[in-house]
Amino acid sequence: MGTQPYQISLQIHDLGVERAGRHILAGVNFKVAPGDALVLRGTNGAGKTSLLRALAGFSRLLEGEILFLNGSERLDLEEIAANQLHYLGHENGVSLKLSVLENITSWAVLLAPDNISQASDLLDKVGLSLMANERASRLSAGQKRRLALTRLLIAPRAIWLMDEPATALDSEGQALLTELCQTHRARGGVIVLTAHEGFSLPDAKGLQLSTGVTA
Amino acid sequence: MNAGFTLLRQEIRLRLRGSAGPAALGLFILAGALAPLSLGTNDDLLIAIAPGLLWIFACLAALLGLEGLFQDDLSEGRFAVLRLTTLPLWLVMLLMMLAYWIVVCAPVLIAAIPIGFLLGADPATTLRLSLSLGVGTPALAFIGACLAAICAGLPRGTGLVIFLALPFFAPALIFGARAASGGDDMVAAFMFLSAFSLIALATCPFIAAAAIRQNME
Repeated sequence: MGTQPYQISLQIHDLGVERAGRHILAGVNFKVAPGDALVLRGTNGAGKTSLLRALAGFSRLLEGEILFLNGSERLDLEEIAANQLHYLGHENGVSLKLSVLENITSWAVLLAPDNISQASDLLDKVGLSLMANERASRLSAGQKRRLALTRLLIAPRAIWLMDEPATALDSEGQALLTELCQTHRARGGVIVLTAHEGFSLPDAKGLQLSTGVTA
Repeated sequence: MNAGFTLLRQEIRLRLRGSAGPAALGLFILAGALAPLSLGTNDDLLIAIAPGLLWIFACLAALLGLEGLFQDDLSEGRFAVLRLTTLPLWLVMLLMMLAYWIVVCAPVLIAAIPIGFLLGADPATTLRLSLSLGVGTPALAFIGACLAAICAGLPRGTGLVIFLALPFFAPALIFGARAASGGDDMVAAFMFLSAFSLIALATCPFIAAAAIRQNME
């Protein structure tokens, strides 16, 4: 494992999450080691997105704790959020009034000031090189998602949190997504994603969420 | 440092592509140019009320510019990206508010010069007016943006922002018009305006950051 660039693992103990003031998840436990992927499954409203947002630090925890570990050393949550987390939500994080290229260059400076990857290579990779100077608002839903995927590549970060990343992607796009995820795992990266039936990663662990708590 | 500068530039570009900046400036110029038509051609009256009138127009312009501020950023997930950077959220909000002032308020204080002349004010009054707007509008921008952040999660929250802003804008309006009119209490009025802007600058980014956190939960 010493050759892998990422060595951060993720542990969740007895996590309780709320959405809009309602307690929707309780007692969630899991561990994700470097190189592992966890697929969260569950019906609509089961709390998959809420759990993911809690992991990103966007929502307050009702109970339990989230640990990011390097070996057995606990890492600072704020440090992790600032440098080691990618969150790819339904909203993509794409600014529609900026062009494709402007989105990418601003991410590059904000997320990875010392990065060396070329925007044009990234656009090639996700198949958007012909759209570089288009306003992001003109992209289709799948193209916006592809643009959002470049964010994962611009800044090398250990932990990827993805909310139904395969949505809106065509089969070629899904293959690309799988390839990116597998490359990330081979480097010791951690992936937590939500998905409905139909998308999964090879030998990923699964966790079924159910609305056990409604109080 | 570099990241902060990039964010400011990106933010100014985004605001310039929105409708808020041109709408605010358009309102200010149009209202200023139309005022003599409705108020009559009594020069003394126009000269006497010009500072107060233009301060009201500036407040309205600043409010108009708040339309939709931060709403797209929330719904497009931009804040989710910005929260996962090394920039603290209060600094992000400070830079966004600064960009808002540059795009919406700065053009107004430049436009105040020709509009002041149009209303017949003498050069000294016009200069004082522009200067008082320069000192006072940061307070309007920061407080307005702060309220916009609080209401960003509400559909059609701008109406609420306008009502909430009224009491906060009143001090700037009172002392801004005083400072622009000149007279004995001009220096005191300028000092009050500066203090008001500085307090807004020191507190609003933190309040807005807390509001955005709350809106994202």
